[in-house]
Amino acid sequence: MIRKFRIFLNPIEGQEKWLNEKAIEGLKLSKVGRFFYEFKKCRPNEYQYAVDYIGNKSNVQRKEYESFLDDVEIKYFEKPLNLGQFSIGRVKYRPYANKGGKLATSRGMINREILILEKENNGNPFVIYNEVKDKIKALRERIKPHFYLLSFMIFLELYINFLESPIINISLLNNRNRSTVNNVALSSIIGAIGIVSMVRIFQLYLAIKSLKSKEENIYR
Amino acid sequence: MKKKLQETPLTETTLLIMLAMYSPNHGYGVMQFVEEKTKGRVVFGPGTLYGAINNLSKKKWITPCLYREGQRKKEYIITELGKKQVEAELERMKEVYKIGMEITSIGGVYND
Repeated sequence: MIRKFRIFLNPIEGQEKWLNEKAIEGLKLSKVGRFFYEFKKCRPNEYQYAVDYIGNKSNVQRKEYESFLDDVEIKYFEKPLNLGQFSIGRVKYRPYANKGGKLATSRGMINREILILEKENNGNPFVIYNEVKDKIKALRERIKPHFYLLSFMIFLELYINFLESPIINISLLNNRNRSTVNNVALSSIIGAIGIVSMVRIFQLYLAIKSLKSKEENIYR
Repeated sequence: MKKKLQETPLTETTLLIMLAMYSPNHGYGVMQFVEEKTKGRVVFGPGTLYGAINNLSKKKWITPCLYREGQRKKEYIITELGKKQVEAELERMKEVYKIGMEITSIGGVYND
């Protein structure tokens, strides 16, 4: 058994690429944690991986999808995505989800926003959506959490900089100028998160745009 | 005038799924049917197939079969309404095919 630690900036395409590289080397995924991956040895190129975003699905929808995957003999691993969700205790609010998926309770939906799909390599590329319109729909769903995260970060920035009252005290060291240091530090962290989100929204938007022009070529 | 019941043209995905369900079939069977019949030209991704099956089910063009004993996979079968859609689509395709054969060089010997 081989254990690897990995965090992805791009949890869909980045993770998919990495897992397929491992499969080419002859490693088969056996267990997935938040940041850890366990592999078993297999023949090189024996398996293929694809990563699907299911954070918009309600608990019932997820279970239906998973039972469909069982039916088509595709193995799946559930994985969390921590993005644009607000949690209070054991309940998470996911404003971007479908009806019935907005409030995630830890039993069902929390930490199950991503599915890693595995199938035996039959020579064809492993695509989840073979129709362009489905792919566009999936990308649109993926923009939503970034959008909410960005809005929340903008709200926090405004709150900190204009109301000037610290929300969280992260400067433990000093007792002078506390609120200023606090606000500058918080402001930059929030800003960084916001910028990452903005970049990702832009990337997804470009991907949708290029798919759309592809779609127009097909139907024209 | 014939009553228009169809939202033609159907997508290739839709048509192939319904053709695969003239006898009871499950998701895996549909995937294999399509890959085999099109000689690997069309390969369904699970996301697309799942969405299409749900959509066809909602339109009542296909319907889930009753579970038999020992059956593990969920099976569907095409409905009468679904068959009408398929037939109307094939009629449309036949018409386009005929026009194409009359006009183009590969249809040079085609006479109805």
